[in-house]
Amino acid sequence: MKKKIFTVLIIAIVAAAGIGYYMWNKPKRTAADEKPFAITTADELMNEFSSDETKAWEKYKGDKVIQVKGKIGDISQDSLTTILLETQDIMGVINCTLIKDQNFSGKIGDSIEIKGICAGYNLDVQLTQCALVQ
Amino acid sequence: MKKYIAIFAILIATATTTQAQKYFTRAGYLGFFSDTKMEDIKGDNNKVNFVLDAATGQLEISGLIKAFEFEKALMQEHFNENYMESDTYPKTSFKGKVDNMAGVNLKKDGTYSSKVTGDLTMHGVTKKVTVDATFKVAGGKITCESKFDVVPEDYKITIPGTVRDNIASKIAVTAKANLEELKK
Repeated sequence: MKKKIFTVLIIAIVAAAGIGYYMWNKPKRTAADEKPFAITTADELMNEFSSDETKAWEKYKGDKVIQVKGKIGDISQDSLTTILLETQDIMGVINCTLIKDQNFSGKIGDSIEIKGICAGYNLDVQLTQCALVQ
Repeated sequence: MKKYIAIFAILIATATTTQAQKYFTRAGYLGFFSDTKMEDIKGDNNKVNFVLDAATGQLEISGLIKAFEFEKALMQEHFNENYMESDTYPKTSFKGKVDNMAGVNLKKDGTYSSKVTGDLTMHGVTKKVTVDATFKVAGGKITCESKFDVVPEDYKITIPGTVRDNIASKIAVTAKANLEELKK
């Protein structure tokens, strides 16, 4: 009997450690393999946020994935690549941060489709963990 | 990017009646570091807006909570869901003044220090703070930087007892930006 309890205990500890280890190293959620909540254009998305930020945030909060079509206005690179999509709003861009392992060879002026997790509105609309839509 | 800066400049210029000189960036940095025996936690945000009015010393900073990047997915999740509640409070901001703006010459190379005083908002709570800031001017390039500590509990951020030892009681915050002049 004692042996049985001991065995069960060992299994429980190993399982707990396994779950803990998995949680600790859990991969970041990316937009790459998720179905988009909304498919839109850079202009439309900017318009939604600039006309009524509260309403737009209500719609897109909760880490919703948005798929956006637009023209590349600028590209910048630090530890991650950021792509700015132009909009007709002279103040605004869609600011997209690519996931680490996303290959990207586009250039300014290219039309692309990109999907990412909505982080909110801060003059620009920011999307994180973005992936290119092929 | 040049085009956006130019357009932004025109807008600001037409919006202000004075000839105030403004400096800004949309790629400012806001980061924090929590150092404990249990673990180190670091969050970085490189998409922060800074606007400085050189005539009055007015300084405004704003950033999105969800734009902070972490090494571990779990840290990012806890930060957003449990502590900052970023769906409810998506932004952090600072609105204040460079106390000794008269002593900072952004047109002349050098290193200038000043206190910055103003309202720091996060997690829906606004607090008056005074921090030390440095302005470095070198060959027309302007960098401003400030390091200060934030106590989570001051901003009604509750950290459960079970993980209290994993998170520093004072979080080290860094704000840094390369500012560009807005030209008419």
